[in-house]
Amino acid sequence: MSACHEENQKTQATAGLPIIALAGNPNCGKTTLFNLLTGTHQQVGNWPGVTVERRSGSMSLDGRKVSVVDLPGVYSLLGGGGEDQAVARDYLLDGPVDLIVNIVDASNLERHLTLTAELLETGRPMVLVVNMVDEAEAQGLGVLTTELSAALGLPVVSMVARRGKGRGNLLDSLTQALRQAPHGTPPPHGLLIERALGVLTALLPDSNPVRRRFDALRLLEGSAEPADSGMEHTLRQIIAEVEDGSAETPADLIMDQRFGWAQEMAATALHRNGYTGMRQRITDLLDHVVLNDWFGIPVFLLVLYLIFVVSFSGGNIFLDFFDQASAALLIHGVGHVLLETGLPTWLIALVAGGVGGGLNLVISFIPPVGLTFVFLALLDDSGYMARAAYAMDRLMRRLGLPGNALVPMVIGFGCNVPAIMGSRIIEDPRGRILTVLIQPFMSCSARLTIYMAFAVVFFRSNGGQVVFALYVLGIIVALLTAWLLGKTALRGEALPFVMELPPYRLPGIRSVVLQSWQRLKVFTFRVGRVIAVIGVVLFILPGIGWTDHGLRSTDIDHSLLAQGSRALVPIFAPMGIQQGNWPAISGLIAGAAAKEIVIGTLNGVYQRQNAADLMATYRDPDIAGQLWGALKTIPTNAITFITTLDDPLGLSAMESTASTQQASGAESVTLQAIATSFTALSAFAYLVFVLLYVPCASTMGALRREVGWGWMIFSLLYGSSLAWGASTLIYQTGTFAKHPGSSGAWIIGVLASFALLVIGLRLYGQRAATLAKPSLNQKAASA
Amino acid sequence: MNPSLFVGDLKLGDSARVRDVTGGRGMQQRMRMLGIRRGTDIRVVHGPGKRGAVLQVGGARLALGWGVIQRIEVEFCRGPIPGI
Repeated sequence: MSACHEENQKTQATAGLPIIALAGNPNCGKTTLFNLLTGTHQQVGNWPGVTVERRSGSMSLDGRKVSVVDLPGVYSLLGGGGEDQAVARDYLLDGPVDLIVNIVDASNLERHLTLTAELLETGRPMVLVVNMVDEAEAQGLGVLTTELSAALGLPVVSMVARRGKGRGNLLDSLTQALRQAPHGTPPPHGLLIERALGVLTALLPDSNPVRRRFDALRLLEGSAEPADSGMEHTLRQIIAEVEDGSAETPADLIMDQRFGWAQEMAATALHRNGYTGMRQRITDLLDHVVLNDWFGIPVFLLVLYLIFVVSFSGGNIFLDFFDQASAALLIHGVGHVLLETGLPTWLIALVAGGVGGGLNLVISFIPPVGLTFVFLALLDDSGYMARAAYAMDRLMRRLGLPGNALVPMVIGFGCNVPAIMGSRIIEDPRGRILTVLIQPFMSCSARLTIYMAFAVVFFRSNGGQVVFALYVLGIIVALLTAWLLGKTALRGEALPFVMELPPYRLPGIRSVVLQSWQRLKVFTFRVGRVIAVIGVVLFILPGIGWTDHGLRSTDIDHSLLAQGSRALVPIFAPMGIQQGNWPAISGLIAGAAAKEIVIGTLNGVYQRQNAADLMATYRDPDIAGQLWGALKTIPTNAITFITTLDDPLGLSAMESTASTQQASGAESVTLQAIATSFTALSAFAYLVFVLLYVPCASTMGALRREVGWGWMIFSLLYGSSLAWGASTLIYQTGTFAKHPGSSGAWIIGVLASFALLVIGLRLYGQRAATLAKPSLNQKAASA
Repeated sequence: MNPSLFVGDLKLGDSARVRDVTGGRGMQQRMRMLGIRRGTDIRVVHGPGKRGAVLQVGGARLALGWGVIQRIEVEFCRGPIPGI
């Protein structure tokens, strides 16, 4: 989200300060520690790969400002893993690091210490944090920090970063370490290997000696190819020499040494003071259910269903309150005050109707959006995400996607931008491009506001289901897109599934509240800012138009906005947009910048079209009465929520007539205008269009950064045509009985164009396969 | 010596010691970074099935696809291995 922009500024602000880098395996608590040290609130989660880029913050140590760098998790400095791990590796080898804080998981010490061995080999000063000692204790393991510290020659601090335990000790160690750099003792390689490394490093070109040493190690371990035939010859000679001297390959010698060392250190540091108890059994039991061959996928769908239906229905309890109370204060209250001061009517309409009305619409949707964020945060913390990925792996693989592509998809429900960034956890380039390209189809929270506005009008009592259907449609389109591209333009096999399953954790209230608040704040500010601006623009743009005498001020129906949007209406006619409903098109155009402003735009236009009678309500508003009325909606809606709990599918509501649904809830001018401009069917088709068409500007930027211009443009064109095709299909199928001839023609037309697209993609794939083969192979080799 | 036994041939709850990781360099490296190499003790905590298996390796649970577990050659261990 917006965090990345803030980060860039911070990086500049902290230039020249001593740099502490946090390093460790994925999901060992680096970001938690980062937040603890710097007091920031970067997103944390309980799955490997939450952090995919470098972030920096600052803290004060011993009266001096210090820069702290949070890195993505990395298993080894010698290679492996996705792009995210490469980011960490490069920084640790080449970056201007003054002190490494290596974080290891106490409950899995041996494996985490193999990275420590590699970090020691960089020769950089280091402090070791043994984190999650509480989880080790639950496994019956105690940590002996003094013994470990003596064996490593490093300061060792035991912590439970999640609860802030051990922070004081860590601060002391960091202060001390910056004064006098602690260099531990790396595991010795033995004479043979050291000699081989000496010969190889002398031949390698890199100017950084640390990088040269690791490149040499990679060559000896066989995890990298020699650059040229000369090097290959030398390497073969060296390997033969080592084998002669030790009867083992250098790879075996190096690794046996490193893993043996880690094992020894772990044995030094841990003592068993009990047996694995309850916790292990609970994990086994939960895994048995959520990973089950038959129940795994239904459980995942049920979890998603609950999240969105409960967010919507639960949010409904407070929706009317937020809506009516903010309308009373921001529209009527502000309008009244302005009227009292004697400002001109147009200005009052602009401020109260445009800005106030825009804000009012966003504020109404805070409860459901906020609840979605709370549930996503719960999901993040619980440890379930990685398991859902494994449960879905077989299905995803059949569609050509790696199972861990599911993780960014779930993040995408919050915002598509971090989801696209999060696709970096996927190792093979092909799977990563596929995963990035399907992200725009995941319904983000901004699109939720549009669904909500329409659902409130047309699908009030079964809105949760309609919204859920749109989410599911997004998932289906995303998966089918991956399948289609995987069969045509991006052919290949997904890499087999490999993912660490984090321990289950009861989500901490503090972290869930903080995280959802953080997201909600970003959401509200972004939306508020954009809508306020758009509200103003839309109150001016609809005021001028092209007339016979040139550009003149006109009424809204003859304005530039109306003229432009009206010209586009015929394109959208097949999906049920009527000639008079040009504001719907204005909304779509604005939505290409940010989805949050679609409703704001509709608000601006509809308010303007119906502006006449508003002044009367400003003159004598009953704000106290309105607030009281707003408050009274909470218990009423709560009772509705509880009584409809036994009918989660909203079946009873489907029997009631559309007119009663329309009558309810449509309070604001905008919602009333929506009610008259759309039918339930054309509203649904419009929502499907909104779901699938071009992503917002920030998402386009992220697409360009991660997969390049070509795929970004493809994504735009593909998304828009798919959106148009799908909504046309929906509308024409729904109204088939009325005009079978034209509907049939549209349906056949859409299907035929789709067939053409498939053929085109196939041809591209065949051409790309012959052209790109060498370069893909190179990539695979370097990875 | 026994014929080759792979993780996919084990049963739920079985413990085993890794004898070898076959497959290309990339595969070996992926396994190594997760702590699976010659001599590692493992226990099957879910599966093995068509999807793959979940293995307990040290303090970690690793979910591995079918394509991966069939490249991990193991030696069956009777009874539980302490510590995993």
